[in-house]
Amino acid sequence: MSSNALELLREFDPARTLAALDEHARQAHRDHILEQPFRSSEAVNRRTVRRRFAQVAAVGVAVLVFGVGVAWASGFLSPLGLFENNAEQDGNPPGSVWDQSVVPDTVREISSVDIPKVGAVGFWYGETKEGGWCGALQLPAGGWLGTGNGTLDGGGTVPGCYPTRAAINGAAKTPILVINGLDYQEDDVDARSLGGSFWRIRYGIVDAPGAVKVVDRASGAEAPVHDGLFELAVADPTPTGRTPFHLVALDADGTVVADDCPSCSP
Amino acid sequence: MTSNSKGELPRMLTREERFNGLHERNFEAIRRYALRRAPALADDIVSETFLVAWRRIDDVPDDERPWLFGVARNARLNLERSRRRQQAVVSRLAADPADSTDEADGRRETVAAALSSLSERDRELLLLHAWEGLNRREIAAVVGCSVANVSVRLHRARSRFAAALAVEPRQAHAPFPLINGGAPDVL
Repeated sequence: MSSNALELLREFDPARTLAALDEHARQAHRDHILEQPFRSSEAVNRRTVRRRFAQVAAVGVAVLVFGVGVAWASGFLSPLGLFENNAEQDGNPPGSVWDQSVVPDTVREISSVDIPKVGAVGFWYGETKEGGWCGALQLPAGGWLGTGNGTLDGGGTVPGCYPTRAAINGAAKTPILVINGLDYQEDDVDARSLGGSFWRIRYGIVDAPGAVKVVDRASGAEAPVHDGLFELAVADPTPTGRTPFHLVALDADGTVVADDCPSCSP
Repeated sequence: MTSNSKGELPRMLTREERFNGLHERNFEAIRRYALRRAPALADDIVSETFLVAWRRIDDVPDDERPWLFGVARNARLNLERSRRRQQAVVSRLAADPADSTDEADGRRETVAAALSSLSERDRELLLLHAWEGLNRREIAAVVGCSVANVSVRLHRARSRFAAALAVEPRQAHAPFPLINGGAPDVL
């Protein structure tokens, strides 16, 4: 094969412009592997790797079971694996409104936000067969926020799949959630040990027609809306306090099309 | 093992030190391999690869990279099998927004179509050579067959790929380099 054809093939290498992970992220990955029990010269039975883990507590700390449980505990499940395991369903019966099954072909990365001292935190999203959605935030080293792994995980929603607010209301005797055009979760990044800040990242759905960006009126932080989805990071100087937050969605003219707290000011 | 001038034997690396070195030397290459082949499963592939490497650190050969690629390949195949999905490399190629011009889009589609004309096995050998930069001996170690077998199949894959590029209709907006006889294979 001539060098032209080979060069053409290399021109479309999907990883051609991929930047290397920074040293801190790579070491974090290495350290996670080294934390696993060492077994000398035993063949790893890959069937056991797919065994589902037993239980996930509310703060995302997993009971360690070899295989998927190890991957969950180390934080290195793939996005699809994370959504298929769907920790949000734990404790709820099959067929309940929380029994959400991800559609694999819908899983994709929507956006990323750059957190100083940490790097890019990506928002992964998927749709479920039941009309709900899946969401998770991924750290540069590959771990997931909300799983209780590592010092950067500041807590928040355990990643998984959720019914819509309307579906939750429909399953309840009386409506319990406000339907306002915004449906989102929050996970936090604690970069203070690295000399950074504590960050609250809200991510999810804007289904108000015409929305092009979301804004936190309290801090002024804003983020674009892609295909009805957003990821907004806001630094919180007082994470143990009650830092004001007021999320709205705006259209191209700057008109509010969704408001998470109409009675809030500003 | 020879001693130094003081009569001391050189210290053997601990398992952790050996793994640290292996991880540092190969992490990016394995990460790129996983992202190229199966981006939605890439984290799992990378983690399983290095987990196996850690647990079998005593078995890792001196020529570690082909061995690691073989582990990564097996991890990918197992994961794809369990997910009942086949991640088509050609669809990744077509979807990757490396360049948004019409000319680049046309060339990308041409390359994708040429790749899709190959068998899955031939495509794998070609991409291990073109993207991972492995030679025939290393490819043989990854896929688990003889060097002679790889030589024949790789030559065939290259020829078929070149032929498939040559027969794709020229795009009016994308001048395409003609494939000539070319130089002999160099690995």
